[in-house]
This record gives sequence, C-alpha cells and structure tokens, in this order.
Amino acid sequence: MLEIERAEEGLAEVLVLRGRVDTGTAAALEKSCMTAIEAGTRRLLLDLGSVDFVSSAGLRVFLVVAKKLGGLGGRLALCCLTRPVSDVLALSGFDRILVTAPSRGEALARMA
Amino acid sequence: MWQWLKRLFGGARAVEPEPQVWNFRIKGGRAEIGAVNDALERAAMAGEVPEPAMRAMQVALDELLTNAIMHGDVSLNDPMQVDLIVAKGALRAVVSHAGTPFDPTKTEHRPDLEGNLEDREIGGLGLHLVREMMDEFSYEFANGRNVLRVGKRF
Repeated sequence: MLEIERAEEGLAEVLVLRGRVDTGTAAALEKSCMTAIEAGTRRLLLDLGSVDFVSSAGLRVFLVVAKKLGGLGGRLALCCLTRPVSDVLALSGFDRILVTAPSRGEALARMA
Repeated sequence: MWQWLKRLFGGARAVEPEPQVWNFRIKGGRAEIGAVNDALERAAMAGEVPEPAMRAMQVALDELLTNAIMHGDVSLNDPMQVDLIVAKGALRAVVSHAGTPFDPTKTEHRPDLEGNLEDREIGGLGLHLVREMMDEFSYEFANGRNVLRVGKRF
C-alpha cells in the first residue's frame, strides 16, 4: 500500500509518499510522477520520510523519472530517507546518481 | 544412568522456543503479497523480529515473488507457497513454486553499479539486493518445484 499526496513548494512539486514502494505500488508512483511532468513540473521532490521500504521496482521508477526530467532540463530529488530506504539506495549505487537530501528544505535548495 | 535419564527427559537442555511459522499461498495477486508484508510487520511490532531484518526480508520477498510471477510461469492452479519462519536469532522464508526451473543464486549477470544516470539500467538489480541483504540464499529443485530459501540473522 502506498499513499501519494501532492504539495507545492515554490517552483517544485512535492509528492509525499507513505507506505511501501514495491512491485504492487510502483506503477501508481510512476503514473503520479508522469502526470506531474506532463502538467509542466520540472522540479520534482519525493518526500520518502514515511516510506517503509523500496524494492527494485521502486528504484526503476526513480531511474525512469530522473532520466525523463533530465531530458527536459528538470530534476528529480529524494528527501528524508528512512534507514531501510537509504540502505537500498546505497546497495544499488543509486545514492551516487540521484539527488538526495536529509530534509525537504535542503533538497529544494539543491534543485534551485 | 543419570546422564541417560537426563538425556531422556531433556533435563539439561535449555528450553528453546519453537520457531513460529506462517504459511501463505500466492496465485499471483498483489493483495496476497501484501498479506505476507502485513504478517512481517506484525511480527516486528510484536517484538519478535528487529525492524531492519523485517524490512530486508520485505525487499527480498518482493524481488523473489515478483521474479517468480513474471518469469517463472507460475500457474494459477498450482500456487506459490511462502513460509515465513521466525526462529531464535533469524528470520527465514521458504518460497516454492512449480514454474520453469531457474536458480537465481547462479545468475551470472551482475548489475553495473558505477555508471552515471543515463547509463544505468535496472536489470539484475533485484537479485543483487537479495544477495546483499540476506545472510542465507539457497536454491534447489525438488519434487517438481523451485524451492528458494532466504534468511536474515539478527
């Protein structure tokens, strides 16, 4: 189960996620991100502060969305990673290719 | 004689709690995998499993069950079985299914973890996570079924 709540912070759109980012929920997350991009969002921040875990299905979505935004001159950032999520990002090397920050404020500053 | 009696009645043995086992049958539905995740979270909340071990198992099972459903030709009439076992100092799972025989512990493909954003691909990452996050990972083909065992010690 994954709840996705939209919020705007200045020039960025924030998706606040709550639950599991796994095979069962990855498609819904991808759709929410793509809908935002189609509506013109170029700076997208995923707040993962209430995410229990991320599997490779979720990593795939992060990668697809980051590439899509990169191609449009935009940027994806992740913030507020829980321990299980930061472990998976580190094990997959994604901590080196994605913008991550400990807080929303720092993530937004890095996307500005 | 005393030793023999002690052995017979188990007097000298520390009483080990029986491992707890939960069984699930999965026909391919996401809700069924959700039920496995819920059981893991309940075990952690009850204090039987530390949270990091529980989360690692959730990731490993998402990868293994998804692989089996997508590539293993799992039949609806012959559901996958998942047993969760909480033993002393370890959380284990046994996944078995009658799909195409495939040993994921022997995959040659190692994902590229170094490339930049544009070069990165997702293939092979799931099994890489299982290998890295689990302390035990084994496979056998027995009685016409793929049997995968994973374990996380704590």
